[in-house]
Amino acid sequence: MSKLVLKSISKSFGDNEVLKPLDLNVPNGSFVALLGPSGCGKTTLLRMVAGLETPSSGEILIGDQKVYGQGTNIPPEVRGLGMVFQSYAVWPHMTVEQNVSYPLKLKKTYSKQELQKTTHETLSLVHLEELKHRYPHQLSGGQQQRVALARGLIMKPPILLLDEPLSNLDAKLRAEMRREMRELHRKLGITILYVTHDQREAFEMSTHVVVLNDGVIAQEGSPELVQKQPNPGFVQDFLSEF
Amino acid sequence: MGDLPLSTIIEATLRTLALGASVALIAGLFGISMAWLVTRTQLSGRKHLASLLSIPYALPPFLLGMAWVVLGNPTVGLLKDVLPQSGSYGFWGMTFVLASVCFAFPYLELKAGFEKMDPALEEAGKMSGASPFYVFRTISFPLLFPALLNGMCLSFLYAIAAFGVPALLGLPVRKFVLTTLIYSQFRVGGMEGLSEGLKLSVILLVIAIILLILSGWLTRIQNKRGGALAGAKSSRPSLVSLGKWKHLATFFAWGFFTVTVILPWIALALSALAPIAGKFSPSLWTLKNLAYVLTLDDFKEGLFNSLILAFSVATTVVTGGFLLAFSSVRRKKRWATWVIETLGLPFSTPGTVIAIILIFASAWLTRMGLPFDSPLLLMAIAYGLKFSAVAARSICTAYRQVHPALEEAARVSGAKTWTLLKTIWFPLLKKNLFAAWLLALLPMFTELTMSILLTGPGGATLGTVLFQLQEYADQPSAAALAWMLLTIALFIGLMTRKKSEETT
Repeated sequence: MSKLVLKSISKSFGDNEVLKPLDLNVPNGSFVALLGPSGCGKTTLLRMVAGLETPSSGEILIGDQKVYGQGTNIPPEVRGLGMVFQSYAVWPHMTVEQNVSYPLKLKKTYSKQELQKTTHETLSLVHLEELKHRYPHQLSGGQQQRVALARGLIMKPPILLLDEPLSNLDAKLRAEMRREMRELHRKLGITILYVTHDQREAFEMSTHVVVLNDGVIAQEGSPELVQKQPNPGFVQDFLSEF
Repeated sequence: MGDLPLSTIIEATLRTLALGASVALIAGLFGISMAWLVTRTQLSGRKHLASLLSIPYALPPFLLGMAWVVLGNPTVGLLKDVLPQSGSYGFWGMTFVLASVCFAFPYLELKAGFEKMDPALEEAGKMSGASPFYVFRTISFPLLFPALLNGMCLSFLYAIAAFGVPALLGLPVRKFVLTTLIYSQFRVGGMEGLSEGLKLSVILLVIAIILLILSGWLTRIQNKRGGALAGAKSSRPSLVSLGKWKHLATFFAWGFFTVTVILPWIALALSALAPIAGKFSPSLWTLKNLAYVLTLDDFKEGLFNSLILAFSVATTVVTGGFLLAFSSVRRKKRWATWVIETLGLPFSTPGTVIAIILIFASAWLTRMGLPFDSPLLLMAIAYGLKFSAVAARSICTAYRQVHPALEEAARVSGAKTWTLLKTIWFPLLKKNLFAAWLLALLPMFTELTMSILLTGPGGATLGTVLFQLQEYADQPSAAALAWMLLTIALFIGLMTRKKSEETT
């Protein structure tokens, strides 16, 4: 069963066709890495799933609900997805706890105890309980990134979208976070769509790899397959640069 | 006339504070709505409006005040049927005209804030399930709040230091604020009037200092938060489609510009072309007011003095700023940084206070046997003190924007300081220096607040000539001169706006 389905989705900015019509199925519970060089359209694709960018054509289904296509365009705040931004986008005027519990507070259905309990659980998931009263400028880059991750996870979204979340971290932290993300995915069983230009991230964490080049899917499959039998041409070149 | 009654002083002080507060509030309200509309919505023509709205910043408020006298005179004003009975005179008239200029302070601060803010901060709110309004309330607004308050502080400071507008719209109905009370005491003459003026100046200065401290504190908060605001920009912000509100919002935003800038220009034009005050019918239009003003000896003297003063002081200030900023930014010289920072003090000091201090200093020096009382010299000093900080700061920013490697490459090639300045920095910063020169020159050209106190025989400027024409009830001539000046100011505003669009 597919959690996310894209049907001939394309995107142009003026005359510039960033994405040619493409289809993509993201199976339930999978960890899909969108891999490609900068400018290949991977972030645009992710932002269209989020609802932050409007496709030029095609359809998007989440679960069995159509969120985009044929006159439907559900705004991002109603799609109920989680997202981690490349710049983290942790709000500087809120504490760690306020940042993380923000999505929950918007849902009026939670009682105060539930809110506290869920926030606490999510914070401990990313090892931030100790720092919950701190403000972002008192945190390191890695810790801010965990805040963003916790905020994306707290609603238990059907899909978690990650836009190059590790690109601003140093090599050591990056390795640590790769391990942790894999762990989180296994523990929570959620569906993840992950944009990266780093093949190591893609191959180490994901269950599916989609290689994008110039707005076209160059290859998709399991990490093992793409690594062992890269399509001749672009994918082979891109992987050999490693 | 002896001592000023305490009640008059208290009344003027309270009115000054109330004027500052109401101008700051109205300016803040319009500033934030306009900034949001032009940066975050699909308003029709938002890009044009965004740059047009920075023009009021460069308009001499005195000219707008004169336009509102034409529009809002209770007996002959163009809009006398629309406005309340007192017309544009009195407290609310002063508030409105000052706010129409001061709105630019919060507007420019907030526009920069919205543009600098990482759009992901707002997008993260949307992804959490928040509606656009909730995102504004819980994320954008709190983040920009220090910038808003800071802009409002500047508006407050500007309003309490204003002289021209309260003189035009307050004095005729005997509504004094501190600056106009100081002026009227000064007109009494002698040491007595001067010492009353000094007393009142101290009150004005204390209010200004309190505000400066507040604003400095807010800037520090802003910088702390700014670190996060200026983060890596991942995307362009998405624009709110205003839906059914779009036409209303467009009407409101463009209407605001029309009422604050275009309407005053039309009013002055009509008044300049009318044969006598109040007769605006096109069939009677005449150029005799314009011709008359141009032949006035006072006008010729004022124009000559204002040109000489503005050109020489602006050129001195920019030359000094070019060298000082080099020492401060590129050579990290403490003394240069200190001088630039100290110049910020007279910049924030109300012009009236600067003028009163200079008059005292000149009287003292004259008594010591050093005749130091040429009005033009005093004005040159006053202009230099008041307007050099803006130029110096903008030149510092220009230096910082150039990569140091460009200078280092020349040094490695063997260029010494003077060669560096001549062959690298001057050519690189030419455009910025010209902009700084204009920034200093424009307010000097029509300066009134300080000139009116420092003027004397042979020391008329455009500002004082205009003020006296208006005071002696020669309204058509005054309007003719004001119309010409406002047209020049608008023209320069439009030209520099084009320039800034090209460079960005």
